[in-house]
Formats: sequence, C-alpha cells, structure tokens
Amino acid sequence: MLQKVEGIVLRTSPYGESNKIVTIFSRELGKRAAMARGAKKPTSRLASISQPFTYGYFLIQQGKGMGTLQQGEIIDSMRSIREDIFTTAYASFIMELVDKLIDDEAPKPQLFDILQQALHAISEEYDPEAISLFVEWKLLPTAGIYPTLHQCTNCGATDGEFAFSFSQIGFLCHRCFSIDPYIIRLSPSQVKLIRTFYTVPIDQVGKLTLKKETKGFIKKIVRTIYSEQVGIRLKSQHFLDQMEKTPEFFTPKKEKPSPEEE
Amino acid sequence: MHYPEPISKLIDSFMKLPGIGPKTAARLAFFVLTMKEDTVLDFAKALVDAKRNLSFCSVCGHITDIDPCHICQDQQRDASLICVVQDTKDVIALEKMRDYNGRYHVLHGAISPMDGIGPEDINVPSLLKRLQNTEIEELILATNPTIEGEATAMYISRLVKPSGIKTTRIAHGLPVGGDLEYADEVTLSKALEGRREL
Repeated sequence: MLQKVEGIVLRTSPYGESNKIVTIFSRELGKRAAMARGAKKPTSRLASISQPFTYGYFLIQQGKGMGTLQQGEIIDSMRSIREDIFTTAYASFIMELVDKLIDDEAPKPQLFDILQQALHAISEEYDPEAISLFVEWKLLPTAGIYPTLHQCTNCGATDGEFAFSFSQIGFLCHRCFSIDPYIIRLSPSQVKLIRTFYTVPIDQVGKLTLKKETKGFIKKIVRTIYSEQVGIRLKSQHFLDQMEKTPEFFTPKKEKPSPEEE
Repeated sequence: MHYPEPISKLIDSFMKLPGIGPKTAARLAFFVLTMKEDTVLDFAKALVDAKRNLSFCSVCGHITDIDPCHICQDQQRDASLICVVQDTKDVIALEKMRDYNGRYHVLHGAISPMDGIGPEDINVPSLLKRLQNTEIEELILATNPTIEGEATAMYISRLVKPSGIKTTRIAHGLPVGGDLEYADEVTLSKALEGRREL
C-alpha cells in the first residue's frame, strides 16, 4: 500500500552498498523507518530527500515489515541550517531529542508542529540555542513530565514570590519554600520567561533575544529535569559541550544584535 | 541441522562480515570446500597479510603497507596542495580520476552532531600539524555533500582561515550524464550557485 505523508527526516543510517534507512517523523503516521534504495548514489533522486532536517512529502510503500521510500517532494530543505555548524548542531540536538522521546508509530500532530516550527525558526535565523530550549520545555509532557507553572505546586497560590522545585517539578510560592531545601529562587521576569518557554507556541514567539546568562539559567533548570526525571543523555549534547569549550570556532554565522533582556 | 565443527566455524567466520547472514555464510563456506587447496591458502594468506601488513600512514592517514605511504613519498606530486577526504576509499576514488596531483589527508570520519562525533574524534590534529609546513598553499575540502561532510568542511575552514592558507570546497551540482529535469531543487540551486563562465 502506498502512503503519502507530510514529514521530516529525523535521521538516516547507511544500509549495504548504496541504501539508507531513513527515519521519518510524519504528521499522519508518527515515527516510521523506510528503506531508501540507492539513496547513497550521487544520481539517486532519493539522495537529497533523504537528508536529515528535510521537510517534505514522502511516498512510502508499506509492506509487512519496513516500508520503502519511493518518492519525495521537498517543501523546505532547511538548507540554511546545514550551511552553518552552529545551527546544524542545535537542530541535530532537537531532532535527537524528538527521536529519543517517541518510540511508537502513533501520530503526534502537535509534536510534529513543534518540530516543524522549531526547524523553520532556526532556518529563518532565530537564535538556535533559544529555539532548542523552547523545544526542550515543550517536549516535557511527551517525556511524561507535567511541570506546574501556573500556581504553587503545594498550596495552589498564584500570587507571591516563586521558586523552582525539582522535587515537586514546578513552582513553589514563598509560603511553601520550606518543603524543599534545594529550590531555585526566581525573579518575576524569570517566572514569566519559564511560562513563555513552556506555553507560547514557537511561531508566536517572534525574534526573542536573550542574554547568555538568561539562556544558561533556563537551560540549567530544564536539563536538570531531563537528567533527573527523564534520564536521557543525548549524543548531540556531547557535541554541543565541545562547541562551548571552543567558542572561537563555533560563532554563529550572523552576528546577532547586541544582547538585550527579553 | 548440525554441521561438522570446521565448517560451522567457517560459517561463523563469514557471518562476521558486514551484510552476510547465516544462509549466505553457509553458501560461501560450502563454496570454499569446492575450491582448490592452493586457492584457499592464498585466500587465507591474503586475509592475514592485509591485517598484518597494512597500517595508516603517519603523515596523511591513508591506508598503506609502507610508512609514509607511496603518495606522501612521491616527489612528483605537488606538496603545496592537500585534499582532505573523509575515508580511505575516497582517496582511491580521486586517484582513479588521474587528474589530481596533490597530496591527501584522510580524516577517518566526519563531524556528526547527531552521533556525538566532534572534532576531537577525527584526524584533525595531524592536519593542523601538517599545515604548519610553510610549503602548503591550498587545502581542498572534499568531504561528502552531506550534513556531516558540510559540518566538517565548515569547521576545518574556520580553523584554517587565520593561517592564511587558501581553503577551497569541491563543487556540488549535477552529475555527468544526469538529467536536469529530474534533478532536485537543492542540487539545482547548488549547481546554479557554482556556475562558471565559459
């Protein structure tokens, strides 16, 4: 049976002399692997469609086992992402995170929209580090984590001073600070920013410029949740760590305007 | 079905090769039984020799039986030109062309953010050491036109640029004998970008 799906190539792995196994995350079918025969040959019409980050329509011949990728039509090749090592690294991180968090073939249209919007934003030269943080926050429910960010996790209060608690996975108000000795106290703008990262769709964020320290702070919270509650370690994280060690070789393609607080 | 021990060992050995499953391994093992003893001995010797006598060239990283390799030792070759490739098989492919007279540098991989392979994991330090040689004038980045290959080329070009050595990237575009009508938009736009005056 031939199925036409709208999808994004999450990853590829070589198979045999000239074939590739392409993992496509589609709006209609969820995550699915398909064999792209001959895709490693330079003359193959599947060569460009089977590159990671490619957003397009894919025609998959579905049999008993793994399907075969028959044709593809590119909607957006995300070329500008590939042309810079900095954007490639962050986009790879997002792809790997999505790939690790979904293991079934059930459709996940909301998750697909998050991924598509994130890649589009990076290719439109939005800050890739900030976009990857948005994705990390938005994917927490997919990982089974539902942080309480609209009120205090303990008493339900919506006013007062707030802090982030890793044991409660959410905000604690100043009245409940004593229940967790390891809270991270938040300023009102940090509270607002965390809520923005978690709730506002990526395509509605606009050109957000964040200070390096602000991104570092938001990253620290979300990464701690992933490492303590979800327990995943991404390979692309290792690469990003290397990047941060030698920033002189990994500066973004275009210099951003002078950093300003949100 | 239980095979006698020597043949089941042979089947197990063939199964260690990539793309060989139990059926193919059994077919190959039974074929070996029909071969002449001398041919089998030559075959076994070739396997052992390849493993024992081959190593990586200390200069360029290409596979060789002498160190430095034939290409690095060849004085007829242009020492000012280095072509950086991902794999030893890429050297063979470029050598088949018989048009390139410079030297090579084999990276043994490519930077792949998705697989966590960073610059520290490929043969970049020895390239930087080579570039300290003032004789070198141009570095041709001939990594694959994939995400990994592009990332590697970008990284090396940024690394080398301050030294003033000319860094070039091989062209991307339509394959010889290909049909323009069936080319995808990424390839076509790359081909247009790299157009040249006739």
